[in-house]
Amino acid sequence: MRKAIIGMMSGIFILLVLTANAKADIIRPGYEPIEVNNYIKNINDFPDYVFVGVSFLGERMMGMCFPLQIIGSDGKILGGGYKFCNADVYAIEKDRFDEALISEGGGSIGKYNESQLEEYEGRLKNYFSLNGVKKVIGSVNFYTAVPVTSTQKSIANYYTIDLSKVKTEPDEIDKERDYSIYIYLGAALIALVLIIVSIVKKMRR
Amino acid sequence: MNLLLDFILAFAVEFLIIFAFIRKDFWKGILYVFLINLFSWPIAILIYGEFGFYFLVELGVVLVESVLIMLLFELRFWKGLMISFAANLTSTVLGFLILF
Repeated sequence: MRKAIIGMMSGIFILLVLTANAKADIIRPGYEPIEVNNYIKNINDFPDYVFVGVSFLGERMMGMCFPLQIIGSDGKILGGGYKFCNADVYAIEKDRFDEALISEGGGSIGKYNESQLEEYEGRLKNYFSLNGVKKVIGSVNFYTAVPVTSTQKSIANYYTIDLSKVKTEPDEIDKERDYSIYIYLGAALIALVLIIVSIVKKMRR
Repeated sequence: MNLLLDFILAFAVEFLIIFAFIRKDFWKGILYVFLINLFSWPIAILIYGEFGFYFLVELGVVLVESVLIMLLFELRFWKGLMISFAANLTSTVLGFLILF
């Protein structure tokens, strides 16, 4: 009987732990979002190229994502829009750069209806498949959430562009941390001392 | 919910469970359960915050607390383990019910 109860309790416990990892479009209780910044480290090594970020959600560009952006000399890839929007980065030879096409998606594409959006996406796909236009970074992520007790406060991802490769992971990750949460260890230490004193007293009796 | 409230909730629930099993001196019981939680809880939340692994952290808490229950309440290890397991299971279940 006792074994059955322990087995049942273990089952409930494991189930709860597993369901705690289910992801949803909400901030998980006990979690907080932190800032994620993405940079191209060596953007100034490519003066003959324009770098363009294209945001998407899943396989599609969406009105809720910040659609198209020209990346400036600081190399910062802007997120924006819905938190789960990712971005691909394309390097475009300057003489192939179609400013009109890119600017069209630079504002809000929420102005488009579904068929207009599909048509625009089609034109972009054709453009990005041209010679002189290369995808250099895939699926840049702008959102993460960490437990509230994590020391991580922000993340900076640095990509070093190589025109012959599509990077999907940053080359450097810089995590800014705040260790003030470790003050709680003081409480644990005090408790440990008091526990040891209590145990020693019991043993002496 | 802030961390202090989390701690108070965990302490209150675990005290009720532990006291249900060990009906000894009430105030001593409160003090011991408070010290046990004050020791295990900050370490657990910091390890979980840095590395995740909720299940392993909780398992570690159960084991550490069972040893402390055994020593402070002068019980056999297996009884301490059972009480610690029941107390942590209950506080975890209630925590989930409140959070979700």
